[in-house]
Amino acid sequence: MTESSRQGRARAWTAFLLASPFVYGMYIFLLFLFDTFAGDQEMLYEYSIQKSRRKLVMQIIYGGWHAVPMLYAVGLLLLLIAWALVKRLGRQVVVLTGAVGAACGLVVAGMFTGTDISAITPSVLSGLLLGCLMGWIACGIRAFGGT
Amino acid sequence: MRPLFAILCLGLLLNSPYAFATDYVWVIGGGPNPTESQAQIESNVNWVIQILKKYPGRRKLRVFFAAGRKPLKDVVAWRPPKESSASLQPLARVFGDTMANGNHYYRQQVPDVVGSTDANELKKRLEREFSRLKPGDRALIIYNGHGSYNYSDDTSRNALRLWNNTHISARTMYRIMKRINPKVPVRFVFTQCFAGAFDRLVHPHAEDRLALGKSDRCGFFAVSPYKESEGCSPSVKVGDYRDYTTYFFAALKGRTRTGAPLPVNPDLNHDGTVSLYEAHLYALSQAHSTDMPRSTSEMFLERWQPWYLRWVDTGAEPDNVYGRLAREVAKNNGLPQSGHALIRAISARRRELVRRKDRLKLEKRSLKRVIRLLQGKIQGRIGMRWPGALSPYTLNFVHFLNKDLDAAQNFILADRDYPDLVAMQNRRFDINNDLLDINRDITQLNKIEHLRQLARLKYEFDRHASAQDRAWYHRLLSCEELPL
Repeated sequence: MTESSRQGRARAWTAFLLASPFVYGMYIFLLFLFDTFAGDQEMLYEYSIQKSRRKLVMQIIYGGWHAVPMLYAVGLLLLLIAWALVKRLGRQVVVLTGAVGAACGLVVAGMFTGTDISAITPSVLSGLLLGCLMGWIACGIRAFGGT
Repeated sequence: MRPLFAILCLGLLLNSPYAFATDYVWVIGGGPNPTESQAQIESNVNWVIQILKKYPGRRKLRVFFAAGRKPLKDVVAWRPPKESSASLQPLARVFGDTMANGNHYYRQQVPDVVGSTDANELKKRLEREFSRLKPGDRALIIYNGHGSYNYSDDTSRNALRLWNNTHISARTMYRIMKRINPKVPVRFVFTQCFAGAFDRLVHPHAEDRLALGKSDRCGFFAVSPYKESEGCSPSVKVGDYRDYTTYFFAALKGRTRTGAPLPVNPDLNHDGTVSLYEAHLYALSQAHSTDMPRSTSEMFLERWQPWYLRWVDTGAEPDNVYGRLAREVAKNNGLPQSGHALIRAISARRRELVRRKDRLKLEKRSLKRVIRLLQGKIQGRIGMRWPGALSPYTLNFVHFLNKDLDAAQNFILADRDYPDLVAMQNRRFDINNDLLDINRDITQLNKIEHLRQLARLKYEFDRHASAQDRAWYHRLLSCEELPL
């Protein structure tokens, strides 16, 4: 294995490890947008009454920590799909894994959070983002000679 | 043959464990010491006892109040002191606590008191009496007094503040209640500050978890485990009382505290009786106070909510009991009843109220400074003529009181700064009342949001809850829905 491919693989793994927390953050941000502009503004209210705002942010993040392992699991699956197809599809694999991720988001929303637009949209967009990231990581690994 | 059959039936009935089944009610009240044992608590306890005695059905009352049967002054009442030399008000305004001069201490006048609430005594008595309950009996525990918060974040250590500055925490109360036969349904009403922590009494080992214990227990609380409650006013004006007890028991009595008809019918299912749950819903929707009451079934829903539903679809407006109450509270407060218009109106009103509150707080702070300054000036002038007045709790002060009191008070009344001092102290008193009113208004807004959240929780629970969770929830609800 060459030096550049070793570096590329390390970067890809780092990107993989960071992707899920990033997507989770994105999901919370989308929920915040819907809550603020189409909901009861609960997050803003909680934020305004909390004595320790840092504690509230930590609570929101901690409250959903279960999501991160789930995102890693789905992310790994998407990465495997992308890896398997990247030789044949090239950069187009990003579109494919993005679509699969969005579909996963739709299924998860339907199963757990509900079918309302404010429940589906953050879930689908987060799935799309995760899928695209995994496709991009697979392209990166290939570019550095990892496949 | 018939008399023989009747005797046989009677014999069977008497031998059953449900024969002579009794409803027991423990009313526990009073403050931890004379200065914190306000007249409102005594008045509430007296009113509750009166309602319980007149309510249909037989029940045995056990009343524990402050110092109990000991001949101690264990209640404080406050009346605005007269602005005269005879009441020492000029001296109190310059040297002491203006409000404390209106305090009047006396021995409690609660009927049928069997003992003190001193934790050591109360614990033993409750353990003894609880262990005597048998299947078929029902227990109701009503607490009216002060509560404390445990800053370690372990709310099971939130406690009842009892006579002699003693405490019984939620965890200790759980241990005491272990003496009760699991087949005896137990209901409780806790109205103290941070009362929500006592919701743990329905969970095994008073732990912060969803599962319920073996026995049928449920309860109602004036506030969450993190909030202070109303109901500790030393004022004797009953019409001013806005605490949870006042509304909860008004619903059961069918009349308000002042004897007026209720603004709405609390009997929501129109079965002719008002259950404790209906009384709680009445208090939740009608009270204009700083309390945000909760029941064990509502706290169960909050505990149940999975993390992935916490912030999702917060604009939904399901049409269930809580959704309807949210609309009612919004309407009572002159707000749109639903939709984004309601949320915008709540935000705008909250902003306005918080601005007013901040302005008043600022004024109060600056008044405090000026009042101290004026007091210091007048005290200095008095000290030049009667130095003994500056040494309270000494013989010099006794001489001053005996010889120069009238002259000194006349001197104060004629002082050029005294009228300003009086005006500022009165303004400060008014500001405290205004702040309380603003806090009550803010609570109404919070209540609408809380009720909307509960409506969504109930809807989500009906869709997603497991069979076990549903069984637990219905156990709590059916316990809460029992009549008094």
